[in-house]
Amino acid sequence: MMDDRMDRISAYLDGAMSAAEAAAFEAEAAENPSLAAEIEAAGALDAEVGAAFDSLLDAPLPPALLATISATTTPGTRLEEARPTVAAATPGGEGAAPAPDVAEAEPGVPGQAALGGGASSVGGIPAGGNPPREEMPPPAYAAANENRQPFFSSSIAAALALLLVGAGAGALMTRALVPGTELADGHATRGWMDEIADYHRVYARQVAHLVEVPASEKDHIETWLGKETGVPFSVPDLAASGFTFQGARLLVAGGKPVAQLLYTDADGQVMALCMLGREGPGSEEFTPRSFDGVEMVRWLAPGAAWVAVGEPGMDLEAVAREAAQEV
Amino acid sequence: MQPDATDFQAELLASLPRLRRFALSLTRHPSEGDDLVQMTCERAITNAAKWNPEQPLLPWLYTMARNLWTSEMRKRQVRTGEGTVPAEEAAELVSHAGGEEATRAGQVMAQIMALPEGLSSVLLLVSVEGHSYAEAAAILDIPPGTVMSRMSAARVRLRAALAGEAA
Repeated sequence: MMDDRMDRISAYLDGAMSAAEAAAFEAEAAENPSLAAEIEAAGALDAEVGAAFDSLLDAPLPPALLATISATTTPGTRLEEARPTVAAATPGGEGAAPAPDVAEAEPGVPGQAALGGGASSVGGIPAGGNPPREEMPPPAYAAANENRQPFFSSSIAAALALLLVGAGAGALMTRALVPGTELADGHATRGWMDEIADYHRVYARQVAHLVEVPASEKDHIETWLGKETGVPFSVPDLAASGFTFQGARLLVAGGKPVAQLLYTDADGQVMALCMLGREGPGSEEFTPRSFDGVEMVRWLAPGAAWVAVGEPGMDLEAVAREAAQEV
Repeated sequence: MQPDATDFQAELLASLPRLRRFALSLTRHPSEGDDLVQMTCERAITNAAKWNPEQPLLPWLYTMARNLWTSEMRKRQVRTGEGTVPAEEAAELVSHAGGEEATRAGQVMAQIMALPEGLSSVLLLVSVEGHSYAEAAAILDIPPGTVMSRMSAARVRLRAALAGEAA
């Protein structure tokens, strides 16, 4: 059953190869269409696995679980202290906002998603008063809960129920909190930017087939990718930074459509601007990040996250600043 | 005031959907997964003082859940000589979205749950949550080489299973 080829594809997709190994593997794939196809299929399979697992996050939590959690919290000590936060975390009307996008657009971005702690993550949900308990829990749950814990745990549980069941806000909070969390050794969890880096490693070497739609069809690219990503934009002219627009591709990363605009410099080195739609305002910050030989600078525009992707040594921040003016 | 307690409570709440997903990947059975989440939360609350707020909560919870599940499996093997039962009903969990997408996610999820023991959790940690092999190995308490071979085996099996379904 062990499949040596899949071992290598897995190591490649999972970031377990060194940069040199990955480059050698890519070179091999460039010569071997069946291997390249298999890598692509494995990547597509991963996307399906991700979508399937992610769909679980929105499932309502079972009442029995919530009841146990509130019942096992010691009244009078931690719980007393905890209650105001939980109540404050009750989503108001906008809990049902087109929610997951904000967080989903940003996994893997340090400083953005790795929130300081529970309090700040809760702060992302609009505050409301302590909810009147009779409005909150689904009836079946309220009954189950009252059998277990006659104290104030129903209001905790009500807040919980709202948080976790109501409008998927629990999933939203979790996503806001978890993706991109830096683990103990500093490795950030894998997100859409990692996927973009993977694409870059592959496409930057496709000299003869760099783009899906060539630069000559710039207007079409803007219409097409603007529609697919849901974000209207103009292809930036980066001649001042020494980059020539070559054309575009549509990618999928983080389960969302991503516009990839490809440029080359005078030496033929490839730089890409990638964009995906998100909820939320823009920001003035240009954040550099390295992905094993692929460099990125990311910024946020209203309704979109952008990254400039290139090789070490490129002044991507200058490119990003220039592009941010033009898109 | 104990700000750390409120932080802990809030983080635990926020972690529940992911913890539940991880527990399901370990048990491959929805109700057992929920039992495991329950036990994990109980233990986490009891040990809240040991949590370092500087560290992300989830890996701590994951490790705790895995520990609990490992000892549960050991007990069962001693008692009955049996392990767990692979779940076929995972598709039911995928209920939030309508139409074709939900069906597809449900199909894929059912195949993931039907993978041999130990593959789904590796798949979740590495492919979906982006942990390195070393991190997944630490959470699951298995050698990194095993993480790698399980990832490969999971992809090969899923590819075959889903290809069979589409045909």
